[in-house]
Parts: sequence; structure tokens; C-alpha cells
Amino acid sequence: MNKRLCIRTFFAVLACTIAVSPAFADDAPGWLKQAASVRLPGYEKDTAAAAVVNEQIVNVSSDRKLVITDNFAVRILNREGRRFARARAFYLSGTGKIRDIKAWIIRPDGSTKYYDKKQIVDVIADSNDVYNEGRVRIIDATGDVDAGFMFGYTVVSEETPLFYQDKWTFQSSIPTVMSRYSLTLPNGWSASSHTFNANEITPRVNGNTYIWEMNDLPAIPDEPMSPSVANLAARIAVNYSPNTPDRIANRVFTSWGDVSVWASALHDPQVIVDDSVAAKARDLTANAATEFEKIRAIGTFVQNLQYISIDIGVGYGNGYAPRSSTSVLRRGYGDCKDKANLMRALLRSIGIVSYPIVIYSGDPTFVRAQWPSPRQFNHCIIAIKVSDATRSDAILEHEKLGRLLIFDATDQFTQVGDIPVHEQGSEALIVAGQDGGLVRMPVLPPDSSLLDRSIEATISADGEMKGTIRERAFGQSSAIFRSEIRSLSSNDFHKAIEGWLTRGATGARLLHLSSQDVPDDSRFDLNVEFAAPRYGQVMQGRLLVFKPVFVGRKRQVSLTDTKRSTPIEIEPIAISERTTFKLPQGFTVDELPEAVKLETQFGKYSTKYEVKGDSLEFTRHLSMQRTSVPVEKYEAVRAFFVAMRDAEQAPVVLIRK
Amino acid sequence: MRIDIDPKLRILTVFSLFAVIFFAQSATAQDKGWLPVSPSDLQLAEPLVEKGADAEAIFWETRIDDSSSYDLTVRHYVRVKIFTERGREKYSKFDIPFVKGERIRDLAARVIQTDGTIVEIKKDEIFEREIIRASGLKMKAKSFAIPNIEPGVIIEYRYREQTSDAGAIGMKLLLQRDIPVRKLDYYYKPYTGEPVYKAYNISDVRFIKDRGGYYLASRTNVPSFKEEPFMPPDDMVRPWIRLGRGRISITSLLAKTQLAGLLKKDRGDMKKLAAELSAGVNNDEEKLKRFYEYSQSQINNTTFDPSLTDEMRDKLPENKGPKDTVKRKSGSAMEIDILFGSLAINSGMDARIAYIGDRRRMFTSSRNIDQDFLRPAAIGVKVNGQWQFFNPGMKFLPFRKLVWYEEDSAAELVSETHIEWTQTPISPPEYSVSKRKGRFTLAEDGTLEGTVVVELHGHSAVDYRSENFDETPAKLEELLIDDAKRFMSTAEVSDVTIENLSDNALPVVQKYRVKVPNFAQRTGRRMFIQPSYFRHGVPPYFSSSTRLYSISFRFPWSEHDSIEIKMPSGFELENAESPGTIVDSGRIGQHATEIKIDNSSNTMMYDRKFYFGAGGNLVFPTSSYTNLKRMFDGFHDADAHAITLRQQ
Repeated sequence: MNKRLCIRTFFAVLACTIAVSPAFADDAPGWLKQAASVRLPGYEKDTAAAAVVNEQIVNVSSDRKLVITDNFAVRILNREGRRFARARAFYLSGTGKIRDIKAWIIRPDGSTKYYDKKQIVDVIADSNDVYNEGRVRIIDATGDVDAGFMFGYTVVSEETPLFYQDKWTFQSSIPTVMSRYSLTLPNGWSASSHTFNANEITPRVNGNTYIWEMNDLPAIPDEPMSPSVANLAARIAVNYSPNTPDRIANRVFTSWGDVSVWASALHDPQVIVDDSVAAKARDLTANAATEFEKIRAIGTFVQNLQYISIDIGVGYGNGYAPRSSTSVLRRGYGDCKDKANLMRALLRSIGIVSYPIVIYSGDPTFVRAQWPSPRQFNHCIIAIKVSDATRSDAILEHEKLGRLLIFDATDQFTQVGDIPVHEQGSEALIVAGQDGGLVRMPVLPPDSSLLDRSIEATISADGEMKGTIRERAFGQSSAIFRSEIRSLSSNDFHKAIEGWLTRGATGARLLHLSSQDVPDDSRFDLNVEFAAPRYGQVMQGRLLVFKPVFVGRKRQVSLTDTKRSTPIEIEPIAISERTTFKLPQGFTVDELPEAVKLETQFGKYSTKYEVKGDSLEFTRHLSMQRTSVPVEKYEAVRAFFVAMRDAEQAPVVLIRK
Repeated sequence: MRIDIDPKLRILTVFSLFAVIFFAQSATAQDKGWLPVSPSDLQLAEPLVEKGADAEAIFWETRIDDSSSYDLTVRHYVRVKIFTERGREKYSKFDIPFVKGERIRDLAARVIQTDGTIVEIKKDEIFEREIIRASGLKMKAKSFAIPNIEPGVIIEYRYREQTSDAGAIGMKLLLQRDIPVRKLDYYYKPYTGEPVYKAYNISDVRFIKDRGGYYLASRTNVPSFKEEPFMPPDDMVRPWIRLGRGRISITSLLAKTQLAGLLKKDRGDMKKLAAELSAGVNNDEEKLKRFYEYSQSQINNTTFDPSLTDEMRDKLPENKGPKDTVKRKSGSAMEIDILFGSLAINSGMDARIAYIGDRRRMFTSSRNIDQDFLRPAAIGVKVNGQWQFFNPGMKFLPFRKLVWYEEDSAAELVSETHIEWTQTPISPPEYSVSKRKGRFTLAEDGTLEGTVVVELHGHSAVDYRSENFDETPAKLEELLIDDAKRFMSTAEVSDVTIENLSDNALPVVQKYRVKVPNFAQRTGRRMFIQPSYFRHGVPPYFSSSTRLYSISFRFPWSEHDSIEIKMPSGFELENAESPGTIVDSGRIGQHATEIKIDNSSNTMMYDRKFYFGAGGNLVFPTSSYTNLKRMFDGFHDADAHAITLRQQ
């Protein structure tokens, strides 16, 4: 029997086994035993584990409750794979419950271990939130398994869905033999689906049961500059509903306009302008002359409120609704939607219209237009209607709502007029009633995030270099500095800069450091004075050799691996560096590296050397635009990075006259 | 923000890693207990104790009442001034776990704005939640956010924790916090008499009689505790007090003698086995070698058996004595040590359980034994009047060697009737040598290609084996490739082999082929190459120009690199100066390089010999940081030294 046939036969048996063979509590169920007998294909030698069964069975009852059964079986292939021997079941303590959770291991000798209730750990899902109804039940078998073991679990949970929409991901970071999503509906209901990252998957329909299934799926590796695994994985989005349209209001969405109308009803009533809000807005904008300055004053205030998340009533939809603006102003803290909502109220009190935007934060290519659903988002920002007088790269022209300035009131490092890089270009929902809908966020030009560096250095005959570094970071480059300075104490920031210098020159001393945040210009300045003894190497008493690239980029990704499996997501960046070396007396330039000029669709890089009297001027420029490069073109991206790296290693040779 | 509970409670409850609770009370009750806030503190714009601090405790008071026979009561009262956004973030949210059996009373917290406005934490702003529940045990938490917190405000909180059937003995009182503290007070009312305690890393703090039966230990203007690379363990640096004595107790003495008694168990069988193993051998040294070899290679060490899961290990039968270990041919690390000790005793030697300090936690000395820092770690055997140490239970340790963190530590040698103290030896740098060979060809375009062989000896080999014994060959290969590419990202590594992983008598040997494009840099007519392949791209040890704490290295070590590079035809050496030798006056460390050219084969031979930590010198005071850094910078420069080839 060939391998595929063998696996198909297994699943035919498995389907029956799951349906008809309840196991004794401490005995592994039939489906798991069957899974343990599957012969796996030959995976790459470093494959840690393989998901043999990854299945979710959803039953919608006539009273519209869901009973969800998850069956998962994983074969541990090496000791790295032990971490997959863990059952996790999420539930909302208010509106959901775990009816049952069981797990088993089947050892290579066929013996079984059953995990009973005593081994269940029940923990809060997010320990960072002050309160969150999300909880997780866990059975951890990682210490009990080894290569060759099979781990499996079944979770039966119950919930009342907010929406008649669901999603299922077939693929993960380990290979998957069989992944299946099964949906059983009451009479008079039907379902439809969208497929992402794979060819359309048509469900098998048997009576009221729909089954979507994929087999033999490869692992998705974790690679630098890659989209998230969730965004590369084959997945489906499912809509289901009774065939009576009047009964599905706010449960299924057929257009983004519908989602906007639904969300507006949650957001708009919370924009309350009372005396306290109006007074605060007046106070904040008292010295603001222009529309942009007013927005900036309010935006900066809201951004600096403490981010605190308290999620109560999530199962009833409260996770989608902000708290009232007055409450958030009084308490002085809130989460992303609370902040956006307070900002709307403050803006409204001075006559500026704004709308919330819900967005997926973390991967700008994640949201898919084909599936109108609130379940695609995890963050809330704001769109502010502005006049023609306000100019910014962060403005989008909306056909119904006009000119909208996009702003993230939660990201305290990104100023008004700028957009966090992970949100640029993302599809997001403007919540504006009938006029709302899905729009693509602006992508700012690379130059808006310019890091402009100038170095003045003097090299002495013994190789010591002294000088100053002056950096002016704008836009998202300045956000990196703000984030760094916020995460480090002043002492640690000083040490971080020392470390940055000594990576370029052993024994470099930081003589003076100053920094200044200029938020109104979305700028951050860094000034460094340094001395680096023995930076240049003296050879034979007549040659002096040094590298003109002294300091590197602080966050540098090196794409040098020869193999690649996933697309390359390039983020916009622009760096301009100009270094002037005053050369030691009695020396002249003997050899210079060749100038480099690289031009590709995704980026440009150039270096230039110029001798001017007793000085050497070195310049380098890098500019990369937001691009998603398909994996087939990886070699071109790699060549770009390698050429850039090599150019930055090249030395200058001085010779004694 | 989470606040540490007193360490004693860790012993008292299953879950209590720490527990602090805040609670809102009526304004009347709060007003009664709060101390007045000075206007100068409200207006203060910069920290007084430590420049640039994000927050500063104006006072941090802890009152420990151990006078009751039944309960231990600890009262906390802390007032913190916030200066920066980072300080605001740190104190904006409190997450306060507690467990069953702990009672928290009189809890209150409030924020005082710069204009004197007081914002109290209200009851409905405090959430109680179950953090974790497992096997009938629960840890709950009270969580809340501080409203309207911003730089400039003062936050203060107080609470009382009460624990039944508990005492203060063993409590660890930190005399330095993670934020600077203007006044740090510990009040202590002992059960009886005067406080008994021991202070670490500080000499000028003691408990002085105060009012109400309390004694007060106090510090003022205490800077925050910070982390530094290459610093000694926290407990060696941070000032702290331990309540109670660190001397041996009756209970622990009994436990120790019981363990020592196992060495003499099964006397008849063990005597017979010892005789069999040492047949034909007269000297103790050779006998011990045989016992060691037997214990380490003939008994399956279940502690380091990668085929056993934790579950299987838990279910293994306990060996009641060395006879069981022999009979089952299987035992844990400790059972194997006991078997070895038993063989030595039954061969007429004085063998004892050796309780040894752990340098990862505390540096210990036999001149000042502190029981709290010693644990059963090896077998001490007196050979020719000297105590020698053996740990066959540590599967990867060669004969008569200890792991690095048990070297140069206090050792207490316990038999059923006697106790002796001594200091464990420390190995010299040449014991932990890494011998590395590279045979390369350099191409005209700067690509370096060839083979690498790395031999790890001594502690380096023990570390490698103990960290990787349970890894698959594929994983070991992956780790080695990652390591080879760590500082040369473009390196292409292939043909990886790793040998002798399970043979302690031999060094761990790693071999691979490597190709590094642009290893040498071209500039027109010249090519520059850093011959120290194994140090290529490695950053300097120390980057900071200042230092707060001592500098500490793990163990003495040495490196011997032998590299041959066949140069491209058409190029000749323009410069092959060697950076020479760098050595300190005490010869604690040395870096010596030699570069030779074989003109007949156009090959450069680079030889590098390095050692550090000679004479057991591994810890250096802060005052020597500048010189030490200069020395290591010199080593780094010598490693980064480039030679020049010139096109003919």
C-alpha cells in the first residue's frame, strides 16, 4: 500500500472510530490509537513533531449554543518536540465552559497514560491584564514524553457565539498529517466559507454537517523578515446562519458596511462630551494655533495615558466596546479602544470629527477583504477628519468621509502625522456607520523614517580615532529610539550606547552622551562624543588601515542564509550617513574600497569615498520600501544584504608619505 | 508591579513565591494610618539618592513581629515618588498573588498628586481573580490599576500579613531594593531575647533596640540594585540579612549522619565487591580509579539517562543502599556517589559525604562555614592524608574532578561520627583547554574554505556534555552550525561530526567544513585577513567604562589555536607582523600569538595560546576593572589583528 493510500485508509477508519467508539476513561480513544499507528512520511531530520490529527468538531444546537470538540494528536519526533505535548483549552469564565478535557500519551511500547482531573491546571489567559475573563485549562505532558511518543487530547467546550462566524487554521509550525474542521448545523441553517493561503477548499456536505479537510501539510518555518505563521498557514473563514435573514442581525456580516454599522452602535454611544471632557480639550489645545497642532496636543495626551486592560463581559460583546470617554478621563487609563474613544470625545468637543478604526496589529497583510468580520482585528486606532490645511503622509482620502488623518492613540512612540510601521498598508475597518468600511492604511515613504547620521572623526598616526556622532531620527526611526529609551534606565541607555560603540571599535570610550526627543517634529536626536584607541591598525610602521563604517544600525537583520521557504517582508527604512575623517599628518590615502551602488525593486544602497585635502569623506545611503518579495526571488534579496555587509567591511589604507 | 514577599513564606506554603495585597479602606481608617507628606517631597523634581532614577522610595518600612507563639505578623509601609514615564509604567498596575492560609489585613493604597490631591484606590477598582488552580491548590490575586498616575506623583501603600504556625527564623531581609530608597527600615521583634541574625555584603548594619520590643536595622540613601555582566551571584553582591543562625541544627545533623550511614550499609556485599574490583591493586589511588570506573560505567545513571522521562524517573524504585544499586545496575546520581563511597570505605579508606558550596549561588570558604550554602555534592576520600573529591554520579566528570561551581568552595565532610571542613581545589587553566585547528585555503576573492577541528577538555567538555547529553545528533549538528555562524553569518558549514560525547576519558571533538565568502577584504591591490578565525567577529568582553561590582569568571580556562591558511597564488605577504604577547604582571592571563610563513607552500601558520585565571584568580574587585578591561581589550585587539597580502 503506498503512503497516501495508507493515510487515506487510516482517516476513513478514524472517522468511524471517532464517531462510534467511546473509550474507557483511562484508555486512549480509538482515534488516538489509530493515529499512533500511522506511518509518517520522511520529514526533514530536524522536524520536532508532527500533528497527526488536528480536528475541531462544532455542533450548533437549535438554541444557538455551540458544543465544540477538539481532537489533537501529535507524534513527538525528537526531544525538541516535547513542548508540543501540552493540551490547552481557552474559555471565557462568564459565558463559556470546558465540559471536559482529557489527554493521553501512548508510549512506543504501546502502553498508555491517561491524564485525569488532578493533572489539569487552570490559569488566567493574560496575566498582564488587571482583569480578563479569558482562562486556559492546561494538561502538561512535556515532562512525560520523548521521541517516538504519541500525545493526544480531547477538549469539549461550550459557548454562546457572538457571531455566526468561525475560523480554522489547518497548518502550523510543524507538519500536519490531517487537519479537519467539521460544522453541524440545526435544520434550516447553512454554511459557506472562504479559503486563504491555499486553493479553495470545498466542504464535504453530509446532511447538516459540513467538513473542510486538508492532508499532508508541510511545516511553516520561522524565518527572519517573514509574515507571521498565522498569515502563511492555509486557513478558512466560515459563515453559518439560519436561512431566515431577519434572525441573523449582528451575527453574520455580508459586507464591511454591515460590520461598520454594528461596531458604530458599540462605539458611538461611548463618546460622551461632558464638562470635564470639554475642559480638558480646551486646556490641552489652549496654545495650539492650527488644526494639526490641536490634534497633536490631544493625541499626545491620550497616548500618554497608561495602557491598562480590564476585560469584563467579553462573551457578551464588551470586548468590542470601549468604556465611556468620561470614565476613561476620570481614571486616567484605558486600553486601545478606550483611548481612541476618549480622543474622539476630546476632538468632538473642539469641533473635529473622528472615527474609530479597528485593525490587525502585527502583520499588515493579515486582514482579508473577502471575509467581513470583526474577528479579523485585534487593535483600535483613530481616523480624524482634517481640512486641506493639514498636510501629512498619514492622511488617506476617503471617498465618503473625506481627508482622514490616521493615528494610533495607543502607540506612545509614534507621533501624530506618523503611523506604526506594522500598521502601514494594512486593511482596516473605519467604523463610521453606513459610510464606514474596509480601507487600506497609508504607507509612508521611506524618507519619512530617515535616520540621518553624521560623524566627524580624527584619526591619529597611532590609529586612535576621536570624534562625534550626530544622529537625527525621524518618524518610525525616532519611534525606535523612544522605545529604547523607555525600556532602559538612563544608566542602561548609557551602557547600551557604549556597547554600540565598542561593537564597532574595541575599547571605545563614550565621552559624552546627550539625547533629545523632539516629538513635535517626530524627531529624536542623539549626540555622542567618543574616543577609540587603536581603531586603525598600524602595519610595518607605514600603513594605517581602518574601516570607514564605524557604527552599525542598531536593529539589523542579516539575511544571509542560503535557504528560504517563506516570502520576505521588507519594511520601509532610510539611512543616510556621512563621515568625515581627518587624516593624520604625514599620511596619504593609498587605497580606497570601490564605491558600491545597488539598485533593486525593494531597495537602494550606495557608498562613496572622496578625498578632500587632508580629509576623507565617506557616505552611505540605504533606502528600502515596503515590499513583499516572493520566496522565488529570495536570492536577489540575499545578494543585496550580503553585498551591503561586504561593503561595510571594506577597509581604507593610508600610507606614510 | 509585583512585590516580593518575605522568603520564609516560600517554605510555609506551596505556592507563595510572593504575596502582597493592597486593599482600599474607608477614608477614615486610611487617614489614621498614613504619615504626613512633606511639601518638599511633593514638589521634588529629581531623585535625591540616585541620579536618573525612574522612581525612588522615600521610605520602605517592614515590621516583623515574631513575638507570638502562634503567628508571624509582618507589616509593610512603602512610599514611592515617581519621576519618569518608566517609573509610571512600573507602578501603574499591581498584581498581588496570595494563597490559602495567608491573611492580609489593614491594606490600603493611595496616590498623592503634585498639588496635594489624594486619589484613593476604591473597592470596586480592585479585582480578585484566581491566577492558577491545580490539584485543589489555588493561588488568587488582587489586581488593580493606579488611577491618574504620572511623573511627579507619590504612591504609598501599606498592609499587614499574618501567617499561622510560622516564625521569622530563616527570613531574608534585603538591604538593597530594585529602586533607590532614602530610608530602608526593618523592625524586628524576636520570639525571645535579642535578634539573632547574619548580615551579608555589609558590615555597618545591625539591629538596635527600639520601642515596643522591636529592634531596628536601618539604611539610608540606598542606591538601586543593578545587574552587570560577569558579576558574582546576587547574594554575593546585594547586602542582606538572614534572621537566625547559619549553624548546623540538630535536625540537619541527623539527616546528614543518616545519609553518611548509607556509606556503611550492606557491608558484607560491598566489601566483597570492593575486593573483587581492586584485585591485584595495592595503592588507594588505583583502587579509587577502579571504583570510579565501575560506578560511572557499570551502573546506569538514571539522572542523566535521556531515554527516561520525568514520569519514568519518578516511578523508579528507590535504592535503599549500595547493594540495591549494584543489584539493579541502576541508580540516581546520588546513589552512584554513595556506591562509590561505600566501595572506598569497604576498601579501608576514610570516605565521607562531601557537602560543598555552589559558586553559582554563593562563594563559600572553609574558614567561615555557613550551613545554608552547602549541599551533598560528592564523596570525599582521604588519600595520603589529604581529602580528595569524587563525583561519579555526575556522569560527565572525569576521575577526581568536580564541576566548576563546586571548585574552590567550602566542603564539609560528614561521616556518622565525625565532621571535618576543608576547601575544594580549583583546576588550572590548562585543564579546561579548547584546542582548535583550522586548515584553510584563501581564494583571490577573499573566500576562506577548509576544515575545522575543535577539542573541548576539562570544564568546557563537562559543560558541553551536561548541556547536550539529551540532544539528538541532528540537534547537536544544528547547534554547532549556529555557533559557527554566530559571528560569521555568511559561513556555510557542512560535514559536521561530533565525537566522544559519551566518553569522559576523551575530549569532545567537533569537526566540520566551512566556507566563508569575503572572509578577507579586498581593496584593489591588497587583501586584509584576520587570521584568528576562531575569534572572528567576537565582541569585546567588556563594553562599559564604569563598574559597580566585582568581576567574576566561572573557571580558569585556556585556548590553543593552530591555523594554517594557504594563500592565493599571485599574492604575497606585505605585512605579517604578530601582535606579540600580552601578559599581566601576576601572570593571571596571557595571550601569545605567532605568525610564520612557509614560502614553499605559500602558507601562513598562525598559532595562538591564551589562558586566564591562573592561580585560581577568578574574582577581581571593582577597583581593578579598568586594568582588567584594558587587558581584555588588548586580547581582543590582538585577536582582531589583520595581516596584509599584496597582489604581485
